[in-house]
Amino acid sequence: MMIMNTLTKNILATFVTLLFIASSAMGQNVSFDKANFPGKEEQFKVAIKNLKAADKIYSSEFPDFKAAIEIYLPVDSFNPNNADLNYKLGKCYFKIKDYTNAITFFEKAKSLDEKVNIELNFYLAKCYHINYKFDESLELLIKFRQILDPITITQYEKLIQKEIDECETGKILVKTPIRVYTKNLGEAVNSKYPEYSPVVSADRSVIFFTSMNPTTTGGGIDATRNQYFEDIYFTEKDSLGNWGKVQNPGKPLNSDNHDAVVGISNDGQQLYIYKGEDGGDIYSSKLDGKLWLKPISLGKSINSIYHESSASFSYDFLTIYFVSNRPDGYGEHDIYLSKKDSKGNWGSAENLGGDINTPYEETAIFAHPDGKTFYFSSKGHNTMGGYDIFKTTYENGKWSEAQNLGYPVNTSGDDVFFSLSADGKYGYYASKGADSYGSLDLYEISFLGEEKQLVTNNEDNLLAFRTEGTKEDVSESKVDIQEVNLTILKGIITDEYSKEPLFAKIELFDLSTNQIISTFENNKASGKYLVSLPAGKNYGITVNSENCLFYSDNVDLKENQGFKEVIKDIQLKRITVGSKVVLNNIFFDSGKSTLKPESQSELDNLIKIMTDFPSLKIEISGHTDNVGSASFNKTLSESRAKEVVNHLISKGISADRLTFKGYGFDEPRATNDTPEGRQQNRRTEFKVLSR
Amino acid sequence: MDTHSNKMNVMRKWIFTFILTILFFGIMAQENKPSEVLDTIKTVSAADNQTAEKIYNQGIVLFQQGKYDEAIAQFNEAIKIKPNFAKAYINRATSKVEQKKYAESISDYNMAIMLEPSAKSFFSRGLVRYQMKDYSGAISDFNSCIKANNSELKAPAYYYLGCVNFDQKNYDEAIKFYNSAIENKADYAYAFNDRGSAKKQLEQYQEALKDYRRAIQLNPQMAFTFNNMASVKKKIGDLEGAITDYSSAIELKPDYYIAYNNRGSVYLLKNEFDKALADFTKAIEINKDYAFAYNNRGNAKYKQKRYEDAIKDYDSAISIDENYGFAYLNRGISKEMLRDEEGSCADWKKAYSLGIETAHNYVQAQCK
Repeated sequence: MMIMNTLTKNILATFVTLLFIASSAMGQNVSFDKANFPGKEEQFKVAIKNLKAADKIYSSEFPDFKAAIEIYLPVDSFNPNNADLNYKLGKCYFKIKDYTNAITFFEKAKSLDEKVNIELNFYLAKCYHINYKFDESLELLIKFRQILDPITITQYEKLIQKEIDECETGKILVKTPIRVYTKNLGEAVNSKYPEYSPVVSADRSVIFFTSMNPTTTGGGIDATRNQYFEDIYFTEKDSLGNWGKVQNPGKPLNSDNHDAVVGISNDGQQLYIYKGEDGGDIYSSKLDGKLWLKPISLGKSINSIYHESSASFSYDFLTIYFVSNRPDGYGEHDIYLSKKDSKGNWGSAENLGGDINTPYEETAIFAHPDGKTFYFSSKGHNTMGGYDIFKTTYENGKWSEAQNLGYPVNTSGDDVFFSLSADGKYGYYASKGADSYGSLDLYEISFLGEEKQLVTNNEDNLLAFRTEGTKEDVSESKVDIQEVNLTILKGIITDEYSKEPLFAKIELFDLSTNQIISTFENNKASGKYLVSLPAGKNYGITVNSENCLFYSDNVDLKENQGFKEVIKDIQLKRITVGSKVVLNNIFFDSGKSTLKPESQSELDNLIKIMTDFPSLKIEISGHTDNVGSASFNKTLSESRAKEVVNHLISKGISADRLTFKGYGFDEPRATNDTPEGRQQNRRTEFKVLSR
Repeated sequence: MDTHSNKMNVMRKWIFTFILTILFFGIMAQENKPSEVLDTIKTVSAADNQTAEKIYNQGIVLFQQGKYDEAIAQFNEAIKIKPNFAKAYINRATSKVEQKKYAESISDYNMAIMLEPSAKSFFSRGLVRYQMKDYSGAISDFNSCIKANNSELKAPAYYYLGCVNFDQKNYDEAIKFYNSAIENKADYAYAFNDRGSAKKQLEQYQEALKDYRRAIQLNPQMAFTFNNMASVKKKIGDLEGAITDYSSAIELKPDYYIAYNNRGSVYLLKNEFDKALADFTKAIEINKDYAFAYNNRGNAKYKQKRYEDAIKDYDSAISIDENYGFAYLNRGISKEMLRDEEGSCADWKKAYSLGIETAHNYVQAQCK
């Protein structure tokens, strides 16, 4: 009995824990050992029994992998952590082409024991390859190569290199896909069973193809392949343009054995079929009206004891191209040709040569009716996986380099049996795509060719004036109206008393400067006068005649008034007692008795007359309109009159000759109802008191 | 008080009044014919009456208010009163031009030129003749304008001579005239822009860009110049530069659907389909009848593999312009992707009938 102290217990516990963690990370491979399943003895016995049974199937000559899977699966439920079982399940799924499940089991096996089988990485890499995970596949392949010893490596070297090449090709092709439109032929044609090797009539009204499904003639299964015997089927286009339900033409085209379509003549009158006799031979059957005649062998030149599997005629029926795996070729199945001689017999077979044939499989040759283009499938050349479809031309005695049709026509899986319609627009082939109904399906493909260029349209505003309009002003500007700004003052000057025309002098003053502008005379005989007063001045006019009181007038033309003609007849008053003259050119500040400077000329007129007539005695009177109180107006008019008198006195006129009086509005000369009338009433007058 | 000017004033007044006095006495001398005095005065008044001019001025006011029919009525009146009123003919013609009645304006210009040939009248008629595509007539008028040596109109006359040549695709000649325009007006932004365009047409792209840049220096508000610059940059592959300049154009003129469409096309070239779509959509928002934008937006949708949506846009483009050949071509390409062989062939045949050569190739290769 061990006495464990705490320290040792801790160390032990840690150690066990670490071990446990380590083994879980690694995954622990659980062998089928009774000791590993304590308390489950019964289940263990059952599991072992199943395991042995499944193993037997798995290791048989022609294993039925599907059956093996069915038996392995419950064993795996019982013990999911057996690396070897996982590997075998992965391999079974791989063989039935269920790569998704294959990957699951392979990866599990790998996590449990990477070395459970030498080929584990290789098969897993193939699975990745098929699922387009090229980089992952390449990584594993390189790893696989590294772990192999120098002896084993020679066994696998070629396989590994092929796999690597295919992955590299795959990467390139997927990156630059060709523009195609692919269409699954539909439910009426395709099923969960494989449909393949379609051949289409020239007018695309019927497709013949091969399928392995339960409706095969005879209903038998090929034990070596675990699949139904191949039979020939066909589908016809219906009135709506869809492919109609699949039909089996029955005997004599089909037999209980393998019967496959390998080709059709352009006129659709001859069908070339494969029959599983004598190692596999090619026959032709003729369409007699509506019935297919018994198939006839193509003869010894073509058919041998070996496997002949595909055939296609040249457009002129003088050459037949076919596939055979007779040993004198480049390896596996190769493509040969045979020419019809002048007697109508097929000549001996000629291998197409190393440009076309490779050590790998070549099959499914199709000669296009254009006479020079050929399509075939190969596992060699630069396939990206399994069979790929290639195109080549035969011109001037030479085959051109086989050209991979590209992705997505070719895939990582098998792409075989490509045939092209006579007009070159539609191709038919078999493939397992994402939209397959299961296993290989028939597809119609149209080549869209190079991307068609779209046209984009643009425009600019190249010319400025067209964009923004003409900036130049092309209209004419306003015309200066040369307004005749002029007032013509004219009339007749007469003696007020006698009414006779008087000869008078007319003086024109600029009141703002108190300058005399000019002096005119009127017409002595008619008394007519005319004064022209250009606009822009405030005029004072004084009319003088001998022995008469002067007449004064004010014409204010500071504002432009255009052209006016004013007729003013002037009656001059004799200097008699009582004669009155309105001093039109005496101006006062508004409401005041201050004389404005413009009054100067009028005042000078007064001084002159007082001087010319030294005995003249006058009264200066002030008058107003009726606006305001009587007393106010009286006072104002009086002070204004006084102002005038004071001025005269200051100029030397003796005061005793002068009187002043303010009449207010007592003596209006015009109506006070209008502004013009009121203006007239606001005045200064002088009256002759005595001579 | 300035006695000298006073003296001058008085001098002037004396001369004036002396003259008037002479007149006056002249008039007065005919005293035995008193009525003559009055008559003379009356005649002077009548002659001094400028009714026609006043009506003409009123017409100008109406013209400036955009009331062209009423303006024309005024000018009609003015001409009725004064049949030799050259300016009235010019302004009547200008009013008609504003109403886009170009042919009717020509006779007025003809009259004006007959009465008073001037730089302005030649220039105006030249513009109208240009508008009516009478290129030789326009050229002759602009040349006459230049001969008349009006400093204001010389540069514009050269400029329009440049434009007339541009329209006739005589780009070298156009450039010469733009050069003259610039010689006469160093800051002639329009001339720089148009000269740039002429150089662009001659594929002198760097030179074109120089002129466009100068134009913008002189007037940074010309959105269309930014657009033109961008298009040149697009042509020489400076896609980033093109986008920048189109964006500037749009900033200056937010409703510039042409620039939006152009910028979208650059995004298409750069495979930035969402941005391209946004720009084309904006162009359509601004101008719902801009067929180009519908077509181009269809192209963007095609690139996004949205073939049905693309076809809808091509449909719109065609409904706006049923002779839009390229829209048919593009629509056919989208229909092909939908496996509508009948539809695509019909569209390509139509495109070919409208002059699109590539469509013919497609028809020959793929259609019955």
